Amino acid sequence: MSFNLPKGARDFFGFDGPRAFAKRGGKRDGSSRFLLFDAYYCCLLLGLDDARLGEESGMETDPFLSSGYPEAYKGQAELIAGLLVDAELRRLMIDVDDREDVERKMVELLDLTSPTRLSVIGDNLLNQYAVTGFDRLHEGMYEPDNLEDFMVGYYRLWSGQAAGQ
Amino acid sequence: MDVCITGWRTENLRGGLRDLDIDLGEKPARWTLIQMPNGMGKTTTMDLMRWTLSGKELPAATVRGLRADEHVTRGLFELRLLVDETPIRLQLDLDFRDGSASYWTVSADTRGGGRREGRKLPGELRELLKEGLTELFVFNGELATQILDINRTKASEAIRSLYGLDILEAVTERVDALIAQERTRASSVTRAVEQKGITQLQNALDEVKDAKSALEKQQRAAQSRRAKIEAERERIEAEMHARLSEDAGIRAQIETIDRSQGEVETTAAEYSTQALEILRRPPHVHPVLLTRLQGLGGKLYELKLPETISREFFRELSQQKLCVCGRPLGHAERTAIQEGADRFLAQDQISVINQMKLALRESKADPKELERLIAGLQEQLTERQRLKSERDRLTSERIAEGDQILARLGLEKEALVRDLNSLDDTIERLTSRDPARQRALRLTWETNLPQCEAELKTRTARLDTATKTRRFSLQGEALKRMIRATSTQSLDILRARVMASTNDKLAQIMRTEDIRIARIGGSLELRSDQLATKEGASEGQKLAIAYAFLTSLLAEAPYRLPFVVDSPAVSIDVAARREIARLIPDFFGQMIMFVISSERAGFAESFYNRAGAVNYLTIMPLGGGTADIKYGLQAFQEFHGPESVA
Amino acid sequence: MNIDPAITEALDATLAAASDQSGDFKKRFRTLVSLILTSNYQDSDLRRVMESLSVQIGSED
Repeated sequence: MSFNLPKGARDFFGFDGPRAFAKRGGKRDGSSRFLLFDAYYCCLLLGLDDARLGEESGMETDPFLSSGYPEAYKGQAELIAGLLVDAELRRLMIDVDDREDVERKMVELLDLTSPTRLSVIGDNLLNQYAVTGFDRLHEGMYEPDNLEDFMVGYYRLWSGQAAGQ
Repeated sequence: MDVCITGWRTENLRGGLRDLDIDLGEKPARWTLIQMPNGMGKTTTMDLMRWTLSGKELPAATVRGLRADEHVTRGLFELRLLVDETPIRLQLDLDFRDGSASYWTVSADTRGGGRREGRKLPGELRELLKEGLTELFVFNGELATQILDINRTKASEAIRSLYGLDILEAVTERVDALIAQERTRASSVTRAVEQKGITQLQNALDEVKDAKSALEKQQRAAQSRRAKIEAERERIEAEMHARLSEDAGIRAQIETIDRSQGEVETTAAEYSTQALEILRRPPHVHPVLLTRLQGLGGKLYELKLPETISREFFRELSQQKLCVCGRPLGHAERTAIQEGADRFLAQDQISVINQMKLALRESKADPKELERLIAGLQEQLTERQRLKSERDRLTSERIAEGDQILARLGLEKEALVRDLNSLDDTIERLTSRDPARQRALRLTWETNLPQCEAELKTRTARLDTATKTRRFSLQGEALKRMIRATSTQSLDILRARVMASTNDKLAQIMRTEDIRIARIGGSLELRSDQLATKEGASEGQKLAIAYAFLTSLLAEAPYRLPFVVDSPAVSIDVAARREIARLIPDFFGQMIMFVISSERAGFAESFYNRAGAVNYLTIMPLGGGTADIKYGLQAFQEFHGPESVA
Repeated sequence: MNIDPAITEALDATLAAASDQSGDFKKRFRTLVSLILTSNYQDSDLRRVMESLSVQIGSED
């Protein structure tokens, strides 16, 4: 149950330890509010949208977080899990009317006892989706050196293109 | 500590020792004379006493050699002692069949007189009674020769044994073992044990300390320079600002711009904080995500997923006697139900899907919310940019109007900003703690402070470990030296003391001859001018010297041990015998002397008139390996048995 | 059990020659010798005495 950042994500967001946008004498304010997990999540959503998996070699070897979602994300577990199920159904082109297939896939991905509500397979898939998401991210925008620029740029990525089916 | 012998007995041993029981009484007399022909086992008895006292391991051949005859399977020798008034019986159990021997102790405190295996003597005594010592007081005439043999070290060994100097020196081995242990423990951190290794570690540590100082110096320099440049930049900006503001109209404009910039920053920060909070909820990020989530939820309802019956239901059903429909469940039905159960979801799987379904159903979002915040944020950023351009425009207008100074200041400011960026790079290299960043910039402990500090810690630990180990081994060496010095010095003092004492006694024994010990080296060395023949001292003289030495040795020891001797005077001339008989017994505590009949003259006779109790025993062979013991002076004097038996 | 005066004398001389050692060490050393002679010591006793010796690191090998 561990989250691994895509390689290069730290540098992209200018993380110095836990502080984002810290590289080029960035403003001290907003940078400390932006978590490593926020960076991960932003990549993850893009990857899930694309329904394309990245490789293990594209992620950092050591997890940056192993104790479940951070406080700010605790209510979102089922929804993120839902997005994962949706992405997998699309990726594997499972007929959504095939009850048995859908059920089987969900059982494979879900686990009640996990804080992420995902099985180990599910957790690993998240990391892999984050890798492709990061590729999309840094192809689509410049390295931000503050939170405001990043927010605007990220939103543009979503709204400025047709979201993948 | 006082040790004396109160008796002994033998069982099934050869010679005259088939079953002999010698009783010297509960409080033995100071002197005991035992008249016993040669060949009856005196030598064996003395050997047995020595072995029992020292606990020596006996080879099988020796054990079997003690066997009385072929019919007996086991034998026993028991030595009865009084140790500081406490009776103790030491036993040597012999098994003739397998040639094994074992030692046992029976002491007064053992309930029911049971015996315990081993030599259960008081600790000090058990240590003391080593082989090398027991041969001194269970005395074999040959020892006398050996004590004087310059090629041997019997004399100094005796001293060392008796006073425990050998035990003292054995501790040096223990010290070495402790040092080895310490080295093994430390070797996982570093292998350096010698001074050279430590010096190397010290140098390595100094190296990293120097590097740290240098890096810190660089950091301070970079930061101080940065501060200077920053100050300079601010100064130039202020100057530019001032220049612009000289013109009242422009001043007002600039003040407005400043105020607006402040407001923009604040508003932008608020917007971005709120936007981040909303972003963290997936349905809000983009309408397509909301659609997907709601879509999945709808699908789950449509497909009637999850079903409500769980695997557990079927498993439990298969344990019942009757089905829910009322029919009895036989083996075939049960099997079918169990196999079919696997098709269904487990209860917790059902739960998690239900949870998801619920969350999905409840997910809603106003897609416009994020859009609005971002739009607002974008406005602020645009405004920020506009204000900056406005400022720049004011500046460049002035420059275009020919304000060279402003132009120059602008260029200077740009150069400073470049410097600042470059310094920021330098500072990042020096101070970055992020391992990924350190790798990306290829930083090492020589170029990065946090890594340098880590390296400093490691090298310090290594040096400390090596130093600690080295210190310990130096301490060990020092202790060994002191132990050896103490032991050597003790030996010298004891030698001198024993020598003086021995010479005193020699003076008393040997009235007519002027024999003295010149030195106690390994052996007793006599003054060469005194000896009549080139071969050295005569048998009798050797004996006398040995007695004198032994009494000196034993008399002054902290232990009072009995002195057991075989034919103490047989080879000494009658006159000397009288002297020995007169003097030697007073030198010892308890004395047990085996004599043969011919020794009576001159030696044993001297005891007849001795004040104080003397115990006389006479042992006579009866044939078949048994013997008869007669107590008392009369039997002793009247004995006309052979001097030796076959 | 008392130590023989010869050993005490030797101890005195040895310790007098070790003028760079602390009184604490000297006391411990005497006790140790006494314990050794009565077979009443163990490794930890030995260690303690060793550790109370002052030595110079950095002396040549």
